Amino acid sequence: MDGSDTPADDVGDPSATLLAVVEAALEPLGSDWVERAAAVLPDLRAAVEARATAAAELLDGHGVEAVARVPKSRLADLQRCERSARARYLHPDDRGPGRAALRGVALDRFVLLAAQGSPLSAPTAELLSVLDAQGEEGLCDQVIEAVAEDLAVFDDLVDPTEAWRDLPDEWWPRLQSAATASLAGGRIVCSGRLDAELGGPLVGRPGVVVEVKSGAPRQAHVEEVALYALLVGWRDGVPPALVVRWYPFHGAAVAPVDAGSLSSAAARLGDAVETWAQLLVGRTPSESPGPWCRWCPDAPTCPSAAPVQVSVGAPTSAGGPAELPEDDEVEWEPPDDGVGS
Amino acid sequence: MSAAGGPVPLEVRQSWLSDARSHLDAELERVLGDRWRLDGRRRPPRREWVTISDFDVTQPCATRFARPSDDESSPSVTTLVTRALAKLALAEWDGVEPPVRALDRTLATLAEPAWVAEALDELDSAARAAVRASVEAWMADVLSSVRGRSDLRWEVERARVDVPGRSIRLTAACDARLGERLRPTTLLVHSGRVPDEHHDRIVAGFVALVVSFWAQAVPERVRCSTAGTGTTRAVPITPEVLAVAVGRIVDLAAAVAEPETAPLAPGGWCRWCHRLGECEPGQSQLGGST
Ligand code: SF4
Ligand code: SF4
Repeated sequence: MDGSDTPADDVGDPSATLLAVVEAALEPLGSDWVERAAAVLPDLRAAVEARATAAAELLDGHGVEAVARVPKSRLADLQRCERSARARYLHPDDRGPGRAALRGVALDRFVLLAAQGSPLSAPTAELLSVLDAQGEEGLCDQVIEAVAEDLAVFDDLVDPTEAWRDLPDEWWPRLQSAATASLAGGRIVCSGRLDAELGGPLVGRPGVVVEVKSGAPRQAHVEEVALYALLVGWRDGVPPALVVRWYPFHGAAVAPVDAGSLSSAAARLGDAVETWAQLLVGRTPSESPGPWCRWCPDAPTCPSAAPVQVSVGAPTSAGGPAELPEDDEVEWEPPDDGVGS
Repeated sequence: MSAAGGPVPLEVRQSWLSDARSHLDAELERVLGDRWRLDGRRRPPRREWVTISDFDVTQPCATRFARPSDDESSPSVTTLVTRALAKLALAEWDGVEPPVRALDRTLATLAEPAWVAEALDELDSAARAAVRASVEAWMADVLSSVRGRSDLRWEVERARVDVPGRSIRLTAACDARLGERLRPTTLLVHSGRVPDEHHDRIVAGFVALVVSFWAQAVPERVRCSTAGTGTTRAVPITPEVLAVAVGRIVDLAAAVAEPETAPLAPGGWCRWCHRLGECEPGQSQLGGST
């Protein structure tokens, strides 16, 4: 449940192409695999709807009128520490990403370039060009600053993305696609942006959801992809057949999507929706210290804050970059969806 | 739907359209009088016109609309061209091939609209890749909303209408339609905002009014879809829905005419309002929120 576990044993060969990994994982699944997993989707939806409706009623009773958002990042925040989740909502961090998150930003864009068949010959210039085209001026500045400090800060991320080249049109790789559950008549919204999707009903192939992670494997990533499988299942009417967590220095961790993983994702989502509604109407949040206290906005005043441990800089066993115990993701979505909470 | 449950006859929908236009004229006359009236001798430059978009009509705070920020930053190239390029590709799609192939063909021969072609010409290969990725995501998203159907007519350009006799322009993005251009039966509006029934109703009425301003009848329905949901929500177009849209246009025009007395509507959205620093209701709204 937390961000510090490292289920590294289920990852694969870092040199394998994404397509090879996907095809090998699909082969043993029977032709009715997806249908069997899909059968649980309506019941799971009904169960989460019931909990979301109760949460919306709670908000109504307290005059909280705006749509309550429980995006993936909030779900993860709530699972770590309720007080911290509330603090991050009340005081959004506008300082820009730290170094680990910036490497995550760079990796996402290198994957984009590789998947689009675009050359990666001058990675920093190409990264800046992509960010500029996406209107990410703030991130451009951060990249320039990071490169000024360390010219090679992103270099090691480039070669592994070769695994993303030459994905066939038949699998139609899509990047940053949306999956959103609008619950309780739109009062509660859970949304996610998938790093990549392959296949799916639009191209008549089994669906595959891929999350790109620049850091080391963590249990939280497993839960994240399970949530995405659920949201995609509700969006498309069928779940993806596979979820893949792709790590540049550890390879891909592949898991078939089944009724069990969808059910636990739905239970976690229902819990988060209930908890968030309670916090919005004023319940005192619990405090759960952990490594995440280091980037918690409430750390200076929180009596439970974990003592700071200086552990930055140790290289990972896979020979990758220094592992920073920090969020390695920056949402591509703009913060303003115009709906308040 | 008519009271009997069938489609509303064309002549009835024609009368709704002309009633809505008359209602808009009369209401603008009431709140504006001679302001923003085109007198036929001098046509004011575009920057002096009032422009009201489908986005504006869903924004709750009229003051924020009436007092726009001076330093609106220009949109990124992906924001600028994604939607138009995606619809060009979808218009090219045969419904069977992987949709990305239709995008390849579209990009290979792109000349129109010139503003899209010119924007792409200026890009290096990395920026073009970013645009392509964004276009593919939009195509996949809208296709999942309409369950892959390929019989829609995709509308590439925004609909624009100048209110007769006024320097007021209405603009709306309608993404696709079923039916003839002058007699559409269904319009599709796909957006990245959070699903919201109340917004759907306002947007549907506004888009129906703008798109069919010079058509022969309003559409039977507007279908609204939202990124990532894989569904569309139908809003039947009725005189009431059109009246809501007319009301929003009139409210916003009145707010621009008299910004000092324009209503404030504090809410969660104040967090991102450029006027927050000088707006007490906005500040206390956020100060008081959980
Ligand atoms: S300092 Fe730690 S325990 Fe306290 S609120 Fe923040 S994350 Fe939670
Ligand atoms: S801060 Fe809020 S109430 Fe004030 S102008 Fe902006 S949106 Fe309106």
